[in-house]
Amino acid sequence: MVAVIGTWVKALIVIVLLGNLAEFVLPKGDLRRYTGLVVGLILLLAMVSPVWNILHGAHPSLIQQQLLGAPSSQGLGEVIRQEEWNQAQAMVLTYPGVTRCAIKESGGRLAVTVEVTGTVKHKELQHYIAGALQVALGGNGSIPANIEIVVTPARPAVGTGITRQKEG
Amino acid sequence: MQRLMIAILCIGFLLVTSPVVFAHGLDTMVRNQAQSVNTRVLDQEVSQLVGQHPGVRIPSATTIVSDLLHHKNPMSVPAILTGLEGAVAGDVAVEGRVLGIIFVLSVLAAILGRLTDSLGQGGVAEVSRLAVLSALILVALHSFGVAITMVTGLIGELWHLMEAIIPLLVVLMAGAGAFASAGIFHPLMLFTVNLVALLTRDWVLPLILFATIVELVGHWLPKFSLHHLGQLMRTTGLTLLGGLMTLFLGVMAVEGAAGSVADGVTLRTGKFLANTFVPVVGKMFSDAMEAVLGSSLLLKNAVSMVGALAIIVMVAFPLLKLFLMMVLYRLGAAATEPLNVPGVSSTLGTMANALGWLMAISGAVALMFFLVVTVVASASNGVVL
Repeated sequence: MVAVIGTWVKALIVIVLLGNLAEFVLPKGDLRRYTGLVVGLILLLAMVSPVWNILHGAHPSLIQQQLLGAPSSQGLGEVIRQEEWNQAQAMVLTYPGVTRCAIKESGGRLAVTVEVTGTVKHKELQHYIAGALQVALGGNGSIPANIEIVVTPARPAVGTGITRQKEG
Repeated sequence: MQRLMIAILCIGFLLVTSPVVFAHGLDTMVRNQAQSVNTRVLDQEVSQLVGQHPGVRIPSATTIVSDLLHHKNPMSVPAILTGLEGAVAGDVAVEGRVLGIIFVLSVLAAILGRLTDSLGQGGVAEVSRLAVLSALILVALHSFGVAITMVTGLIGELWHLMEAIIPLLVVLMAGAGAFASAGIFHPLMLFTVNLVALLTRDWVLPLILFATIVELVGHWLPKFSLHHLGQLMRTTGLTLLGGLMTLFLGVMAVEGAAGSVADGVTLRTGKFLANTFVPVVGKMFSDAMEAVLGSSLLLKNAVSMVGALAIIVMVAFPLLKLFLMMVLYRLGAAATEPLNVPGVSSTLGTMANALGWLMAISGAVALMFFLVVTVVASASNGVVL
């Protein structure tokens, strides 16, 4: 915080130095007067801008940018939803026998594709997936209506999505 | 620390129960107790911190105890004064030279100004003034940098000293029977000392530094001056310091009062119980307890005294140096004003003010730490007396 104030003061002093230099160099006349005005305005802007930023908090902070990458067209809501899906996938993968899980959105419906090995009771698995989705996305306790769950036996090929290493 | 405390309590118990106590005098008992508490590390730390000032030595806690028992003055005041004198002479020489440079520069600027006035070219006078003022500000900033480094170092050293001395004092306090005081003091004291030192070093001093730099730039280049920004920053820093001081004094006062009352009640109850309910030896027992607590108190007060002396000596030199620098800059401001070079005397005045603020800050911090030591020394004295 003190370092921030230090850089701020440094910037102000540099502006003052440059302004004075301009005053010295420029010939007497109208130009000099307007330069004084402009330098004064710039100084005012430099002095007020940190306070303005703090008051409004509108600028994307540095930490936020580092965490989420540069601001893209997606927006924060999209990023959060993706993270929620990833969480649900990770929860589904903890179910014994599940090797792969992918969650996609198609036409307003969530399509969950699960690959399993061995004998897994489909009904229980479906309940489990619905529960995981509720926990991750936040629901009111009933199974959401617009979810499509597809359970298929595992293929040897490795596709996209999060896969779980089979434990020996 | 707990082990040390248990060790002290065990020794105290042994001294109480063994008949040896009654055979030897107070002198032996105090010496035994002084040897049981290891103050060597503290003494080393203190002598290392004070050691940069040659000629001044802080006596160790055990020396102070034995000196006090034999009614001798443990610390010679003339020695400190001689040390201060030596330091002052050196500082006056260095700062006087700096001031001489500044004076010569401003005379030069005045002569140049008059010369160009008679030649009738205003721009040259301005440039010469600027050149002289630049040199002057460089010199002034250098000496301000020296001052602020000194103050930062002083605060850090005081901080180290307090962190070395507080645990020992608390152990000795508990040894003197002031358990409640020790329990209350330890966390709050460490917290307040750390808070004060940290905020002063990381907030108050930088704010004063920024304010001074901004004001100096304002004197250097009078167009687009940021004078009031500097004032704002300085006010912020000093308000912070004032708030810290208020908080600190409040905490210390409450701590001292609450702890000593609780301890006094506990110990008096103990003595009364021993007197009344233990037949025959009860009175002897309570007397012996009082003797042991008293000797432990002496040792604690000796350690407090080491701390207080160390703080005084550590602070005296930088404060005196800052004061001298301030006086010299004020003198320079007064002397350069008749030369009528715009900016020079106000620059020197600003420097003097800034050095005065630095002096106030280091004095306030030292006073707070000094109060910690003295409050601890006085808080548990009421228990036995």
